Amino acid sequence: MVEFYKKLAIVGEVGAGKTQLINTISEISPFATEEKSSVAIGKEYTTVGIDYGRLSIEENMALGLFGLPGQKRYSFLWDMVKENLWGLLVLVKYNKDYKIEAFENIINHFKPQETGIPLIIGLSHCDQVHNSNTDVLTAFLELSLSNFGLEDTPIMSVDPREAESCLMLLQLFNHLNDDLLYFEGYR
Amino acid sequence: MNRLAYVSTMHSKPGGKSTSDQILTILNTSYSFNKNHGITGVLLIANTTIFEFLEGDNDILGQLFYRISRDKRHYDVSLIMNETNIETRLFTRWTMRLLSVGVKSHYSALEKIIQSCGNCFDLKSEKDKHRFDIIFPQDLLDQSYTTKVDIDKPKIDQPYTGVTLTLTKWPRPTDLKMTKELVDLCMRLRKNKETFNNLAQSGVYTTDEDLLKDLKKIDDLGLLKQEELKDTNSPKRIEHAEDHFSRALKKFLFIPIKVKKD
Repeated sequence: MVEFYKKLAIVGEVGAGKTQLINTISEISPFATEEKSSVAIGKEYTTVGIDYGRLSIEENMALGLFGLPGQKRYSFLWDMVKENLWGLLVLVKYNKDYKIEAFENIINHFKPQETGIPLIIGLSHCDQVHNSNTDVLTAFLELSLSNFGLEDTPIMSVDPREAESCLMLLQLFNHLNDDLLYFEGYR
Repeated sequence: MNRLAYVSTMHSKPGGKSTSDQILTILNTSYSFNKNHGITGVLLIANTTIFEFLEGDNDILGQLFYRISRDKRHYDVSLIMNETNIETRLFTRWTMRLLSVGVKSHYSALEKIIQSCGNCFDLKSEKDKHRFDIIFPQDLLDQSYTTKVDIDKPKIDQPYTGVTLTLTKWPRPTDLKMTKELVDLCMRLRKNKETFNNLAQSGVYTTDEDLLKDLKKIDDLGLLKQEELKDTNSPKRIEHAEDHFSRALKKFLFIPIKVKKD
């Protein structure tokens, strides 16, 4: 029986890699809610509900992985999982016409700057573009985050297909949740 | 001071415990004991083959090896090196690394041992030779036997003495390709003013050289802030109550765990 259960919300736009990331690290087949896309989005299926996966850490301990669509019209789904989150991962897919508004809608809704939810921005699909383009998007995100008072938020590139890359995010979330290291008189 | 090394084989499933469960138990008990008794070295595990290299006080090492040889989690424990009256430690702390065949990420520890002690191993049986070969692949031995180095040579100069270090900004994804070690290092530097010694003792890096390399990468990006260490003593670490989940996740991800002193 699971006594300790934490929730990680993974929010991102269409094609950012939420379902893939959950597929990569979940021990159960994700409870996916994919449908054939009705418009050209570069892939056949897209998530229209919540993807759910789970990672057992110990016998009585598990991490729930909730993949949520990034569009504001699905914010009622965000509300279903946003309480007592262990972490919020916003997956951003590289796109030269990236619309920062969608990103800011997510931050506005979850309000990590007020709730203290550990936040990480994961940049996906970076391997397909030149570094200078990724830098532009990163600068864009940094600016937006600083407007929310979240300038310390780590922005990491992530390959949702690679377990090591995904587990590194969990390692980082664990650090953000963990106030273990502290040096008296030196802060 | 003494230095010893042994090889052994882990039971595949004693009492129904999986190999990964056993490794975690070994990690936790060994880390605690070795840290508290000034034992340094490295424990290398490849599948079910164990190799441990230990340095420390003669009596304590003797007691420790007695315990190790009676440990029911492994069998066929064979002492393959026992050097007495050594003056310089090869390792400044004790760490554990899991080795995957063909993966070179942990070769630095292997190279260090082979370069300094490659001729000191006494492999009495074919079984010992076989287990030794699993840990030290032949291609590594071919490279290293010819370049034996003097272990007494002074440690490389490290430029971060007498200062505290902090990270001024999280590195951009295009600036630094993250590794497990770098994530840990950046998080520590982001939260606290750290000294090189504290970072070295965290157990994340196998060698000081590896830590130094990563610190230099951060420094080259202009993200490492150095301030003069005001006190001659290192900053005192306060261990906060760690969340049970966090501790379990660290075990799951094989991140060194802080051991609380009573």
